[in-house]
Amino acid sequence: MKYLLLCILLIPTLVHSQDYKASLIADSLKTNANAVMRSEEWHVSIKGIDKAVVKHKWAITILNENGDNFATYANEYSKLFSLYDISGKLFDADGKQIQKIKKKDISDVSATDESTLLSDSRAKYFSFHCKNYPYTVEFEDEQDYNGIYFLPRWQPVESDLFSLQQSKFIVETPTDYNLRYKQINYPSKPIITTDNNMITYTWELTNVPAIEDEIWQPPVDELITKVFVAPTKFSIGGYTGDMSTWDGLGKFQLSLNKGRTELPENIKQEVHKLTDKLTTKQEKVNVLYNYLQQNTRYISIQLGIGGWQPLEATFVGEKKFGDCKALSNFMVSLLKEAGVNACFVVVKSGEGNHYDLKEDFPAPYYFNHVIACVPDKKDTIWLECTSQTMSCGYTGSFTDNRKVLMITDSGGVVVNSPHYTVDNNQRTTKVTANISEEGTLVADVNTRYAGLLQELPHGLCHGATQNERDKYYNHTYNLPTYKVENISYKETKGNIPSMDEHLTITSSGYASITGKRLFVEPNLLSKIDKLPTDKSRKFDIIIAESHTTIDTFMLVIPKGYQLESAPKNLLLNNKFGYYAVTYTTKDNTITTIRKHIENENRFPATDYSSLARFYEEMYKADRAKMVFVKGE
Amino acid sequence: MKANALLLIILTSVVYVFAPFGSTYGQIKPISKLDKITAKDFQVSSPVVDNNANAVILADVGSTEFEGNTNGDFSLVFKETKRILLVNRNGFDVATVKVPIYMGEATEEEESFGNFEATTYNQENGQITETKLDKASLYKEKYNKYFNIRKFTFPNLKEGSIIEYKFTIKSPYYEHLRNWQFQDEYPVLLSQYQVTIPPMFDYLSVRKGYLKFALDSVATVFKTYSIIDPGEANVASSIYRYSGNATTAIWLMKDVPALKLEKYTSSNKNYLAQISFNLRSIHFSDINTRYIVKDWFKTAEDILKKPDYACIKDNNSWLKDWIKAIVPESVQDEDKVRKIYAYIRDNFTCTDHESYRQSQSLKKTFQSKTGNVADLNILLMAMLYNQGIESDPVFLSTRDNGWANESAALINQYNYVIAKVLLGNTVYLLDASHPRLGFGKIATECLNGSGRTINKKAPWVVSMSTDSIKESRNTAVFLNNDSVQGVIGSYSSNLGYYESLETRNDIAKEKQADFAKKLFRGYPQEIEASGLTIDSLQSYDDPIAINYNLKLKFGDDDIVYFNPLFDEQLKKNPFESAERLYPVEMPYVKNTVFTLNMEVPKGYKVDELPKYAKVKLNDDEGMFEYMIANKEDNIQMRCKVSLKKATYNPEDYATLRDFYAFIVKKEAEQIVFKKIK
Repeated sequence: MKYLLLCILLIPTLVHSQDYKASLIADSLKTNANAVMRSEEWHVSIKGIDKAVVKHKWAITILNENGDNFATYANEYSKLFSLYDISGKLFDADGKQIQKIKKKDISDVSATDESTLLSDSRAKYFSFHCKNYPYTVEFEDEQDYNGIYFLPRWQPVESDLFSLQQSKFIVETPTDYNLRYKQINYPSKPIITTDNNMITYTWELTNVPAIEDEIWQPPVDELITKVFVAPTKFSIGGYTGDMSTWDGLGKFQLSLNKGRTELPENIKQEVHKLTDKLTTKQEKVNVLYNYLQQNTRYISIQLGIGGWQPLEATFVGEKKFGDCKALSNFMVSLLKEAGVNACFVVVKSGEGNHYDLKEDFPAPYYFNHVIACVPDKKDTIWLECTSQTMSCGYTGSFTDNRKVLMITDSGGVVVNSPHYTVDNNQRTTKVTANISEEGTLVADVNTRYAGLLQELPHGLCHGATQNERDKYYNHTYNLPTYKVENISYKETKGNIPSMDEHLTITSSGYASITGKRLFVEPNLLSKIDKLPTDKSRKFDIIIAESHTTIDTFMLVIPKGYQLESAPKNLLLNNKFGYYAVTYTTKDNTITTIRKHIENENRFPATDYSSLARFYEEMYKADRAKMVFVKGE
Repeated sequence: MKANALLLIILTSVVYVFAPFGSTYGQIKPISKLDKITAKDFQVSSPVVDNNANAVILADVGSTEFEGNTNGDFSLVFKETKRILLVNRNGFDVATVKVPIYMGEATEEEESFGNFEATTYNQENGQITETKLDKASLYKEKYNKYFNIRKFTFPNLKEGSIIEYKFTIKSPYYEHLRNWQFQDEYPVLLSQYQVTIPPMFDYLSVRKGYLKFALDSVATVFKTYSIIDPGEANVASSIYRYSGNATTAIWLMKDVPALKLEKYTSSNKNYLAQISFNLRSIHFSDINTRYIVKDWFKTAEDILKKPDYACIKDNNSWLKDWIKAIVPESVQDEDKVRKIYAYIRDNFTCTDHESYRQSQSLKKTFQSKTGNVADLNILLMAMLYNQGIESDPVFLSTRDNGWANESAALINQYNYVIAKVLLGNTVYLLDASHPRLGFGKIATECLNGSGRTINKKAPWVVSMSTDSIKESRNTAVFLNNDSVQGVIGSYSSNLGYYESLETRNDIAKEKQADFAKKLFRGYPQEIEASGLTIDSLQSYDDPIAINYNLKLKFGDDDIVYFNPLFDEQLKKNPFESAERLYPVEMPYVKNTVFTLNMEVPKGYKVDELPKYAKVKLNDDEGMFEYMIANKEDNIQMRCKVSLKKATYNPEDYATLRDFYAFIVKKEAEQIVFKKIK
């Protein structure tokens, strides 16, 4: 699935002659840091609703090899925003300048990615290379905005293991310009001054120590400081709008889509042929979504305002391709032609991007993708229009469980995308296996995956060739020497789709036979990993997804062995989840039943060590061995 | 199949009319024009098409001819027609086509792209419909300084569509006669390339891959070429005509299987069926022939004359003062070489590991402390020369770049250069482009069989056979009963050189404490590892040794199962796939020895020990031995895996996999201790 290229990279300037001596960096800023932002200044000068000049200047001291990526300058430009006056300097540990970028050293390349056929986006880049740490780079550039839709966002701490000495964000507007701003983790208010018919807003941050990422940490917006600024009235590419409300932002998108929704005549006829006899809304949606999937494919074209404006439905109708905007717009048109009300929906896609949209600050910054929906008070139907294989009504981990902007006939409204629960996300595995006298295992594995958990087998079934599937399965399991064969799938479509997967696994040496003993791990496949415990936890713990997994393993071992040692049945039931495993041995059959439930949740950092203990216990239980001795 | 037999080299020229390989000329006719698409084209049946094929190349037909141009020279005219069946959606990616157009480095004369047509064919209700791509949908992208890209994607695709496109590229760059690839990611039913060369041109062609041609023919045709010389200002243009017997060669392959990529292969470039061309000479007249490909003596002389390499022996007096700061003048030559090598390695960054040409001047490299591999190693040679120490460049082809054929002096098959220096009686190969690489060591990516010394008097091959490079790891564990702490002991492991280099690179990127934590995470809870020390971490020329302490919580169970190999146990067969098409090519020969010396834990006795085992791989290509013995309160065990060579042919793959399957199985075995009652 692909992204809408909404993103504009920002950047821009000035700072006076500085002392970049590395010895001036406070020790507190060196702890855990690969690089330190020494000083930064943004100067966003808004001239009117469609013009801005952005200057950016920054200096970073790189403390070790892992910080080297900060010695690269890169910025994009296109018809909508130019890029010029790039300068770059390299300083040694004493702050002495040792190199300077020359214009001819800056590379200028197309910034069109692999999945994009055409775009006008280009990039300039340059890297300094220095092996004597610490060293400092200073960069500076300037951009002219030809139209305003996006304004620069201030996020001075770019990543983890990065500390900040000083950064300033200055935005200057005419007095009649209604600038809106949203502060995230900014401790005070901006300094606002008025002078010569200009209003100047200044935000500044100093001495922020580096943070270190932790597993399952809260969204980045809780951890670092950001400031968004956005216009009220704006103009870009000949279109104007007012984004101070979600409705206004929706109206702007409507104006971009206007005149692009009409279908070609032959497709209108096709729609009627397919749906006129159908009675329910769900049937019509199913048929038309299937029509879309069978007849179109994803190809991205992004030119100027085309980063946000869909290609016409007639274009998609003729060429049979488009990007997420074009395909979603086309889908909405198909549905409307069949008398089904449908909407264009803008969203921030991607696993983990659940919390991006700030409902109290309408702006286009949160979005990078478009889907479609058929709104309903209770059962809104969601449609991912770039996939040719997904189930009608299922949006998947790419766009689930987040706030999205639905474009209605009159404007825009923020709604929630589907949320898949512990009852939806399930995996049930049944294994029957035999172990030979030599210790070779032959197992028949049947698994049903549902909800978010079916995405992996869905992808393997639809997106991979037989060879690729063979490669995947013969790599993925922790079995000694093995081969997976007879791979097959059965798909059940629906709002909560499921996949049945069947495999045969042969593994030589699965059971270890040493003289008179036989060692075997009764849990073949479901093995949880440990959590790292080498560092003390700082942040809250977020469990992002709920799921239930149930495994039944039936192993038949060679006759004539007696049980010498078996793991104990285990039941763990606590606030982090439920885990139970039971072992039954009857004659020469071992039956192991394992059940694990995990729920979306949030826990304080102080719970981390007990969570890690819970995982350690599951880790051990999942790898427990049974030992049998040959009877005399 | 022998690896070295996969690479064939054949001379194609006016003079040499070669005997075809496995050719069945007479039965198979070359294709002049593709037949009109009919219903049966939508139904392919071929031994090379199976259910893995998301697309099938039905035909790919290309040709290169020469024509006279209006600039007083020849141009190349390259034509290609390609017809593809899109079996299912996963093959739709081939319907987006990108054609790179070269713009020339100095002249900026762009190759011309024309005669473009693209059509989608669909079957609808028994009829074949055509959808032509409109010309406005052919896009041009300025990719970088040297290339523009023409791009297009086909409209109206369905599963089962056939797409066909053709285009012509005219190019003034006849040193770059286009190569042809007969094999693809998808099966190819027919692939043909025809090249017609005027009498004055002589090209050397190099073939790779192991597939046979269905047609492989050479003939002569009488040709007339008209060249228009535009003349100077005030001088009228003139037309020259050249006539003579041109050579026309046709290569055709049928039913070419899809190329499959596998692990432990040096490069798929070595196996891909392809043909490439090198301009060898231009014969202007009987007394005027310009040789482009020469013998190695002359080639080496030419390379060393070019500014790229001539600068090594320039009077780089500006270097003197710098070198003084690095090397005291009093030291011996060998120390000088070592110091200069270490200086470049430790202070310079290599930004591109694929070049035998400089990207900038020596001075610029020195000042910016940055450059490609040639910039850095040429600087190394220049600094040595400055100190009166002679060295030779050695050209290499990296593993990714495929094998270099040493039988002809084709320099464009190389992509790397290192330095060779003689100190006393020892030859050292030096590559200063990799951080932490030891003196005289070669990075694994460069271990690709051979290299070529660029010396006009002695342009000899430098052998770097992977079978001759040994990588050994020796690990020893001692465990004793301690009256207070229980079972305690020590672990020490002497790594092989390349594993040491990897470990050094890992440690450079994290703190040693983090490295230790990661290392110790491999142990179960009952075993406590602590006190990591690493020997020789900073002496890059030597392998490292890893040492730490172990403490076992033995518990109070009646029976204790104990794997004597700890974390050194090989838990998974490294050869995952059950079958293999291409040879296994490891960068070096690897041996490991593990020994354990332990006291039986107090209060326990040995109930069962794994048995002695020894297996050989194909008689003498490898050996695995597992020895274990219990004498009174002492257990001694030794586990050894040794391989004799680095390359294994596909027919030996199953044996190699079984050999490792045995190792994995055997190493899983446990010692059983029982409590003394």
